[in-house]
Amino acid sequence: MLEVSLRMTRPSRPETGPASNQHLAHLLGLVAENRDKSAFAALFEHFGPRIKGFMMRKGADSELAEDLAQDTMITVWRKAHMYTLDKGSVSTWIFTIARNRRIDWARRLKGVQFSDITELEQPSDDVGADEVVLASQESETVKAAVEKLPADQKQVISMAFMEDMTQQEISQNLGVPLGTVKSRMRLAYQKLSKSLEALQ
Amino acid sequence: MNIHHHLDDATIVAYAAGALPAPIAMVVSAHLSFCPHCLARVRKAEAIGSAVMEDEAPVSLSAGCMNNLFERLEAETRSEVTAPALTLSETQEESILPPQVRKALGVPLSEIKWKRIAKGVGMKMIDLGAEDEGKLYLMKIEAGRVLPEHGHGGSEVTLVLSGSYTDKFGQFGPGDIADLDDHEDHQPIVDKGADCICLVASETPAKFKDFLPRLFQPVIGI
Repeated sequence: MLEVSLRMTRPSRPETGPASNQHLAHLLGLVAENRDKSAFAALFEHFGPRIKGFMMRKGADSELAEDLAQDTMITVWRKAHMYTLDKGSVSTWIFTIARNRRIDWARRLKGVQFSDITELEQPSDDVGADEVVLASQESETVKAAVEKLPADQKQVISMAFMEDMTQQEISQNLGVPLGTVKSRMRLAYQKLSKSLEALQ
Repeated sequence: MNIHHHLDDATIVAYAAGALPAPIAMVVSAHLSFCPHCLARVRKAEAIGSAVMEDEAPVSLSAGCMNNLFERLEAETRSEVTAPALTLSETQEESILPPQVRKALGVPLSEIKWKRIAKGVGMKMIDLGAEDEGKLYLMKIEAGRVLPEHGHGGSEVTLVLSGSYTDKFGQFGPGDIADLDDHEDHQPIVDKGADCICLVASETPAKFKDFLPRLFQPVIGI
């Protein structure tokens, strides 16, 4: 049964490339609406290795990292119908699920679960149309902008997102004042934000 | 809700990275429940996270990984249930607390036993099981009360839930967040007309500037 589901025909990839948001959104739509397992497998082929690496950067070994990557994807399966454009690109949405899973694992001995904090953040008001990031072009634009950041800003971004180090930890690690860490984060965010606004 | 005071860009980035101490993340999340503007900013910062993850992370999966995933999916689909919705009795008064705060607090706002820490100032600690990361608490300060001038040793964020106060940074009403830089002293005065209830998180103990209020610090604990 399992073998059969894996041998099913994969949905064809559009010409825009294997990882375009349009394609990923199409796959996620198939998972949400049709509970399509081959679309789900294709999503895992793209995101599995990335989530695994993301978990390993926080100290998980290979086996645990795969386990956490599977956890993340099971959540994607469960919540696929909740994905909407105001959550950003498919990549961004799946990143937030992986991030929550990783923090919950890192904090497993503590009381509060990070997902309890972040998953209830939805505002009652609708996000204004002008605030919605254009998800379709978002990933490519941000990727290009991250590459163009000066080395010191790229470093704090990477330490925060990949290592989830607090500002204080980054400050101690680099031997620079907390204020410097914050200002590098601000500058990096403002540049990336500008490049996203240029899309609107 | 008319919000005038928003989160610092650096806080937005750290929150999106999941790199804030839990008490501060809770206050940020509560502000996001009120503020579509900051939520959109968080989404942008999360897009940065996904770009970094796409770029830096990939590690090949082991041969059996896909099969394992599908075995788990089989188990999942056999017992597909929807998670129970958060059931909390919603009174008019409760609605000022965002759901994640209500859940962490565990008792309705009306049943809180405020600990009197100074004249006209009540406090309620919220236990997140993360004492080493910082503190999270509610403060209720009576209308017209002047707090001692103080600075903060580490990061501190204050979200107004009801009433309002004014300090040198302006007036802070419901939904506004004070995301202060370290070492920035201020002296909040609660506006007349209504008590002010705030949700506060701090990373390290604050220090009071004047001699007399400093005596209160061990008692107040902020």
